[in-house]
Amino acid sequence: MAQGFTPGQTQAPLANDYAGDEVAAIVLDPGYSTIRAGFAGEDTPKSVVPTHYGVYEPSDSAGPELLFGENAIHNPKKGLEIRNPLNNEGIVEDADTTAKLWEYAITSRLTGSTGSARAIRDGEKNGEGDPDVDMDEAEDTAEKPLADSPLMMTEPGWNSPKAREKAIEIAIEEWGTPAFWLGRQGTLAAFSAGKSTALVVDLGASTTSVTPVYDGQMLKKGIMRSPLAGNFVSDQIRLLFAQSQPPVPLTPHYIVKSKTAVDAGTPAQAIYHEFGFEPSASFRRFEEERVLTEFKESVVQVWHGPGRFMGGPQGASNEEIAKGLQGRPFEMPDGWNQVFTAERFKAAEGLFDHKAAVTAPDQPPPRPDQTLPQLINASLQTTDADVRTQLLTNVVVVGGSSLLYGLTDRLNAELTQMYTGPRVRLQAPGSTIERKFASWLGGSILASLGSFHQMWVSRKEYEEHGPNIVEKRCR
Amino acid sequence: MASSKDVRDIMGLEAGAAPAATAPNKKKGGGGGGLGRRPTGMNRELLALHGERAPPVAVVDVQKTYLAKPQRHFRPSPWEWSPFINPARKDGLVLKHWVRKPHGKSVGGEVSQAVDGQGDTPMAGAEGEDGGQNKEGTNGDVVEHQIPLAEYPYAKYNVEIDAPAFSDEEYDLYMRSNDWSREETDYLIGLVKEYYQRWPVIADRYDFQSQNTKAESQDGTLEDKMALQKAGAPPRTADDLKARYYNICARVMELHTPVSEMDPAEFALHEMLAKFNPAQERQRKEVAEQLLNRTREEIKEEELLLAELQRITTNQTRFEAERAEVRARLEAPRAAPGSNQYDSSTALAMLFNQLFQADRSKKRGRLSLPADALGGHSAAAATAAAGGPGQTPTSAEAHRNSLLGSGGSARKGSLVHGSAAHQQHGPGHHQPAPKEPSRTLAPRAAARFGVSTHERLSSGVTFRTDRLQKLRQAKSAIQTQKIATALAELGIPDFVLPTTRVCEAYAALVGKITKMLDLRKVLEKQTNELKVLRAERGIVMAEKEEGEGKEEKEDARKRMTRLLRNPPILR
Repeated sequence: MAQGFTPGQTQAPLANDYAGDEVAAIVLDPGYSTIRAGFAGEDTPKSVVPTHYGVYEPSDSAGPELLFGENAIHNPKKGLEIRNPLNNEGIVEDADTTAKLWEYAITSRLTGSTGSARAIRDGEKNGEGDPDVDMDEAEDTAEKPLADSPLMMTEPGWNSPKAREKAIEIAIEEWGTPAFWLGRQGTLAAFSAGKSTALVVDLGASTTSVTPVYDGQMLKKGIMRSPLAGNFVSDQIRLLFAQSQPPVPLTPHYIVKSKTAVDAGTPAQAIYHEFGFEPSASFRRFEEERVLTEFKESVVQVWHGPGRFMGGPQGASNEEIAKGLQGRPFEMPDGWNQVFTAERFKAAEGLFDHKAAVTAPDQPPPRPDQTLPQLINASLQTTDADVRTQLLTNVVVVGGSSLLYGLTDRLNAELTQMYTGPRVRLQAPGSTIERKFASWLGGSILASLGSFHQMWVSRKEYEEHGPNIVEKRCR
Repeated sequence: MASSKDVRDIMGLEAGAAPAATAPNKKKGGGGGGLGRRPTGMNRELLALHGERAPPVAVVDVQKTYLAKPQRHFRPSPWEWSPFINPARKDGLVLKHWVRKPHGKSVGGEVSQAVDGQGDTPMAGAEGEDGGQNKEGTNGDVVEHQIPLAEYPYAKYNVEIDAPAFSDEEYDLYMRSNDWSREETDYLIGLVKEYYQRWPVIADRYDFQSQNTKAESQDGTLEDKMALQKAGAPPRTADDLKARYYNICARVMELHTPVSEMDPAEFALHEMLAKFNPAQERQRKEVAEQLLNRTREEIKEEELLLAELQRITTNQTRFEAERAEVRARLEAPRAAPGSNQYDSSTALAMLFNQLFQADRSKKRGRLSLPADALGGHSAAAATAAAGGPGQTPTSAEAHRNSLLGSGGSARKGSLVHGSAAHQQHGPGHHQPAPKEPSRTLAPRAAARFGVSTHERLSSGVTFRTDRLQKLRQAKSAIQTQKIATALAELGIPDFVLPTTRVCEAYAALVGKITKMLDLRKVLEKQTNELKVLRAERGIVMAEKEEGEGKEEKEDARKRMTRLLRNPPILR
């Protein structure tokens, strides 16, 4: 009772008590760009599957066929459409397809053949063959894809309760997992950096989010998100390409059969594939994105300062300085190539400075409060002054788009300029895998801890309380 | 390719039975080489060149050799994929993990012991060598009835916090609040339990809706709920929540143990809980926030000021230490009376007599010792006396003389004079010349080298400045002032560099000034006296004119007595 009660006191476990106890749990971390799945306790997800999937509707076949995985969706086929089951905020929109995609991510590399039977069955279901009652009966007795493994799933901090309930339903009822847990991506990313209190800045593909995490719990009111993320940078590059004189041709790989070397800036001399049909616009766009990803990885750089790209010292634009810097060459798949100088800074500057974003009539400039420093500031303003100092000393930068060259340095400069008083300490994992798959990694760490196994929502609990239990338990 | 036939042809040999001989060879070789006649590791063409005869060089059939399999003297310990129950869970969820299989025991048994070696647990998902078999064994039916009930080592981390508990009556009696409903209080306590007293999280998730509003927003999103909360009463801050919770805790504590019976720890806790002041906390946070929002200039200025303060404080201690040292030097304690008692001539004479008596009664050889004690300068004479054997009586005499001389020289106060006095005695006793001629210095050289002789040295350190100051001081303040004015008239500055000569001159000057002042005083007095006398005389003359001689006599007597009473002081 109140006798031994001491408020605000917790005791850390002993050093040798931080031992893992692995129960072959599977960690599934769906993102807008890729879905990561792997066994808890490992340092890399074994299965990384693109979230984009193909809907293939051959003219002779009756129903559409869903294509999952890197190997299936990059072949130009007639009537192949590429779609993403998530909306622009990373929330599941097409729950059925998402479930199949997730299952593919798990079964294709982790649990093996048990899933493939189901995939065939799905194909039949989607086809015109009427649902087979006997198959369903047989499926209950047969091994479900996750019958042996507890499943830890991740979700963005702003996920809707409906989507969460759907997730546990799929996991327990369809996949037959004995135990389930839904972790927040921000919290898990903080864990992957070895921190229980952190300000997680996650630059993903569709969304950039800032999540304050205090003592292993995210602070809901502090979550801020904006669409200025990887896809935004891609769109900026597209605009830059379109607006440059002459326009930069963006040719995806699949069109090019062979190419010959040409001088910089001269039109490409390549032989193109003849398909006899026009691959769908979504397919082309998806393939163009791959080229843009390459461009982002090799050319785009975040302006390193001093000052912002648009407002240089004494009113002069840093653009002039940037033009004097050494450029970086880029060659399109068809051989067209050019050295990019100031453009490469322009593409990513919109993340920090809303005025610097490249705009077009159909693409309005971002709001000032969507930029990264403002996002962080807004998030910090919701927190207590005591917590704020702790968060500022533990800023964790993760996400694939944070790998943009020079982004962390720039962010550090912006933050130290914004917060002169408290000490700002930025932490960004050095390795690409840790940066890209931070939330998966955090889940992998968490689900392999012996002390975590009391947290799982078991099948029994689910059956007792219904899917709403996920709201009570996974907070 | 050249076959053996070609070679024979080239070498002029007869192509005979050779093909017949090689053909079966080849066949055998092609058949798998089971007979072992054909050496392995050779090209077919090369082998064909051999002909019937064995090759001139023995073709050794080299077998690849590998390292021997390492000998292990232990059996690798088996691991098994065994189910376990976490006692921290209420639902009896069965999970499986790899544990070291205890020898001679089955799956159940001593799981806890095995789990101790968890540090090197192999990858849980991987199939171990014999784990595969065990998996089959334990997977299905065994699981149900063979689950270890041993304690799970991580169950102890299932910590529950103690939240205050109270009944309805207790609540109504002690914990009622106008601001908080019972429902909301319960909600708060539930949250505190749920989030383990992490107040920032509790404040973040605090989203209380009374029953009627709850129903309609049940299926709304987070945004809806937040909007709803914004519309209602102002949201409670972390401090409000803390205040309410701590208040309840304090009340519950009081209910369990009255304040008077609490032990010190409990009492301190109770005090802390009961005295929690949200307003103060809010103020503290505001100040903390202001501290966070300082600009770079403000921080820089503060740093500068702090550095300055630091410098001042450190220097202050240093300065004080230095000053204390100087003071300590000035106020050095007088030397011990042992060395100090012979500073007057009578004392020295007494000492001499004492020593002289001792000299008589003791042996002669010991005489040099007290002579040493008397003063260093007589040691030279003593050694000189000891140097001449066979003239003991005279040397003793000489010694005595030297002692006398030294006594005299001590009175005169000069080292140089001492040896000079000794020299005066020296020739009469055939003494050798003194060994330290450097001791005799011409006054010029003495002045040049700064050698000075003193009649008497007071122990301790004094400043000449002080001496100058002292010279200026007279017994009375008026006199001092007069000296000062005289010095000022003469144009002597207040502070002069106090070299020896300056001091001497200064002393002489001050002496003269004093004398002058005295004379002036006397003069004044006499002048006054004269005036008085003249005035009296005037009176007397006037009276005389009236003709009275008797009074004149009396007057003269009076004057005499006055003069006797106040004689002119000459100092």
